[in-house]
Amino acid sequence: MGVYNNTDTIGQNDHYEAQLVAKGYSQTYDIDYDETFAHVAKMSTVRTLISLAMNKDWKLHQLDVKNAFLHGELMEEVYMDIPLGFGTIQTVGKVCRLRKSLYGLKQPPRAWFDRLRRAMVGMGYQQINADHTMFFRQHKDHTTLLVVYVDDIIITGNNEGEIAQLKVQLGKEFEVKDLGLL
Amino acid sequence: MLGCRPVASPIDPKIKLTKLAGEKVDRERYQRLVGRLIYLTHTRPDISFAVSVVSRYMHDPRKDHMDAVYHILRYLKGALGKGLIFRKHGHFNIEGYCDSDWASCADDRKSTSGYCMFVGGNLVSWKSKKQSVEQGQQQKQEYRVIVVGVVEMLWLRTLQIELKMNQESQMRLWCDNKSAISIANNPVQHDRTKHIEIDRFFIKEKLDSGILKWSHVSTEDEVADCLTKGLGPVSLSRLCDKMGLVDIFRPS
Repeated sequence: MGVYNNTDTIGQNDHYEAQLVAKGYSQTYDIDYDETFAHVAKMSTVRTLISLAMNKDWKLHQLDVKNAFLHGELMEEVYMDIPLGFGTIQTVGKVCRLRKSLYGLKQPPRAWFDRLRRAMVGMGYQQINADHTMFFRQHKDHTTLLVVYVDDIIITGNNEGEIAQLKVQLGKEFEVKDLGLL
Repeated sequence: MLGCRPVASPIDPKIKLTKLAGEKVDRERYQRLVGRLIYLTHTRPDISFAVSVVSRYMHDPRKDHMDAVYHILRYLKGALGKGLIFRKHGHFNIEGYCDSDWASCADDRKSTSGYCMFVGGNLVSWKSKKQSVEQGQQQKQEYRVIVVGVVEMLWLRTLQIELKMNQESQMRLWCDNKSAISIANNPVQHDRTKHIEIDRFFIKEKLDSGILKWSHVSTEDEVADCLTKGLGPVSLSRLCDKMGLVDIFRPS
């Protein structure tokens, strides 16, 4: 079950973009997927964070994770038809097993967040109970805060060095685009 | 719509919308328009109430409802740059305002309630909602919304404590109903207040533990007022100032 989705960029036709999209609609609950959930920060959490940063004169940094949904690991056994154009004589009658999540599937949002959560905990961050999309670390007198809204991330804190380090670490783990100060 | 004349308030305070108001209009168009307005309420508390009113008629929109939507659009035209500004106030106190408008809905006499919460002087959370049951007494109404507000405040407090940004400060809740405050502070049993016992004890417990202080505010300074009823231009702009809503296109 593979589909190619051809889109050309607006304006000049200098290159084509293609994206492999799985036919997630043919997935069956309990067989191909269990839980689905997209982690979205509460608007009040985001606003509380902004208010905190303003009152403490902290800078707000914005990050964007590229292809966030492709980072998640698939827990379930999911198979897909070999995409058109990739079939050879050897692949006749075969399908491919997916190891990582793909756009179009049911799992990606949750799998992605799980991956991010493990990465953050690995870096010594603590998940906030009041809103699970928020992470917090206090190291000596350095405080760093991170909020994630699906694939958009806001970071703030009282130490720019810590923030830069966090960005580097996230960059190693996932492909991120630094959008600079908010 | 491009040539329309801007208006100063999102909803006409004199108009009471009802279910059957004129002939039917294109439902899909109505739903699309209101849907977009609902999206806008994420950043615009000033139109929260007006949008919550027009969204009650999504299933069967009539001409008057459509006119109300146009009214919101005309208001937006005159206030395009309005948005919440976050400023430094030098503290992290949680402050909340609660209000309810008793039996305001002309169709079923249910009340509308609203709250808004400030953290560190900046507006972070607000709500305008029609109550799901009709209730007999105004104090009871105020209690329901206050409980909802207090729950939100407690959540903000938990968040703050986890972030170690606010240690001991007391949360303040403002409300323009004096009798509700006096009942909460004074646990004298009364026939007419028995039905609000659970809500009252919940609030009383928070008041006694000292984490919450409940005070009276005059109706003019009741910020949550604009989330429960349609206001005229003067009071609306005063409350917008209090909420930190600033039009960035307008020279101050």
